[in-house]
This record gives sequence, C-alpha cells and structure tokens, in this order.
Amino acid sequence: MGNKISPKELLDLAMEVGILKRVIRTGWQKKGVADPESVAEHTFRTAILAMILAPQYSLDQSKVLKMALVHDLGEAAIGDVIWEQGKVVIGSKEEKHKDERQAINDMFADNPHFQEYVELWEEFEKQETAEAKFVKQLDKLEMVIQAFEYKKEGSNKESLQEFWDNAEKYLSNQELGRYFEELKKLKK
Amino acid sequence: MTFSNKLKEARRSANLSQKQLAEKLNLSEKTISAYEMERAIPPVPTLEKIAKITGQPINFFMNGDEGKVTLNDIAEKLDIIMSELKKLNGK
Repeated sequence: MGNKISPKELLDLAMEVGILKRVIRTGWQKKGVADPESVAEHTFRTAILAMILAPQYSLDQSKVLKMALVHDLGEAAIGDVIWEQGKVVIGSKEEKHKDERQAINDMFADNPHFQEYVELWEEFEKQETAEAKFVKQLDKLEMVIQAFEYKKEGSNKESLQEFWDNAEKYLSNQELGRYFEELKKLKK
Repeated sequence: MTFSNKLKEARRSANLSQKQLAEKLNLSEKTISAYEMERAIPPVPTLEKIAKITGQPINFFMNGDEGKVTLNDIAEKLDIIMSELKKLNGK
C-alpha cells in the first residue's frame, strides 16, 4: 500500500494531463485547418506508432512507448508553442523547454514514483540517446501523416507544405525515412 | 479581435510588461511574447490565471462575442456584412 499513489495525487495528475485534450495544436490552427486536433490526439497516435515500430528497430518498446506518452506533457501548462516554421527556427527552444521543464516538475510534484517519467522527458529533450531520437522521428512522422490527412480532407495543400518541409528536416535519411518517402508518393 | 491582441490589450490595461506578466505566471518572457505573436494559445488554467492577473473576465479571452467588443471588432464585422451584401447584389 505504501508505494501506491494516493487518490488525491492520482486525480490531480489525471486532471493536469487531461488539459492536453483541450490544447489545440497551434500549427494547424494557424493554417486555418477546420477542427484541428489536440495535443492529446497527436500523442495518442505517436504512442501507437511507438508501440508498433520500436520492436522492429530493436529498441526497448516499454521505454520508447513511455517516452512518446510524456514527450508533450509540458504543453499542459504553456500550450503548443511554435518555435519552428518548416526548416527554420523562429522561436526560443531553450525558453520553451525551460517552461515545460517547470511544468513537468510541477505535474509530478517531486514524487519519487514519478521520477522515471521526468527523466524520460529530460532524455527526450536532450536528444542524445537512440530512443530519444527515435521518438523525435515518430513525433514528426505522426505530424506529417496528419498533414496528409488534412490535405485529403480539403485543407490547402500549399499552406500545409511547411509541415512536409519540417518532417523532411527530421526524417530524411533517418530510420523512419522510408515511411515518410512512402507518404510522399501517396501525396502526389 | 485575435487572442494575441486581446492579451496585449489586457496586459497594457493592467500596466504590466511582458516580463512582469511572465513572472506572475511563473513563465518565461519568451512564452508571453509567443502568445502575443500568435505562436501559441495558453491552456485554459493558464488563461484563467491571466484573466485574474489582468482583471479581465475569462470570456474576454475566449472565442466568440462574449466579453468586451471593440471598434475593431465592429469594423471587421461590418466589412464581412458589406462583402456579403455586395455578393448578393451581384446575383
């Protein structure tokens, strides 16, 4: 019993994480996509991709899946800040990460049971390990699949091009590049 | 009026700099700048804090016509109405 999370801690955490269901992905909103997805929806499919693909690349499935689930949690406090446009950096990644780090620490409130998740988030942010780089690729693959779907649903092709450019930056010549190449063929 | 303009207006009405608002929210100045440059919209709990700090009703920041209506809002709507009327006349 002593190791179990208290009901209050669990409910606080659940509600904090639940905020992401209502945080709209800013990039789509700015491009005028009708009814754009939330950060939680993006995380859901990123996690599914992680579950399916991690074993195929001989990576620790559990670790990659958990990292995919926590990678955008910090946005519950600050929102989805655009810091890149296509391949160009337009904002301060460092400040965004500083605020998100604060949010993650507040969310997990120094509870020793949750330190693993704080560390996974930090690992993702540092982009040094194979798992962190893999989740970054999954993050971008999910984004560009969404761009493809929005275009199919009638969104303006040109206005969505910057998402393809951004995906190119992270996926070209990388492990998951083959899925991106396939998507590019479908786009034509 | 866009969210970013509403935030700027509310912050200035409360006599706060971006830095001061950032400190009150425990966020970086760059994040406030991102909100005012339309590079992000704060989540509802953060929005509630902004409303409290700036002394504005939360509806002021939400979409729709609730909250304060400015002359710019009215002008924008008039433009849309005029444009629709012109289309109807053309038919």
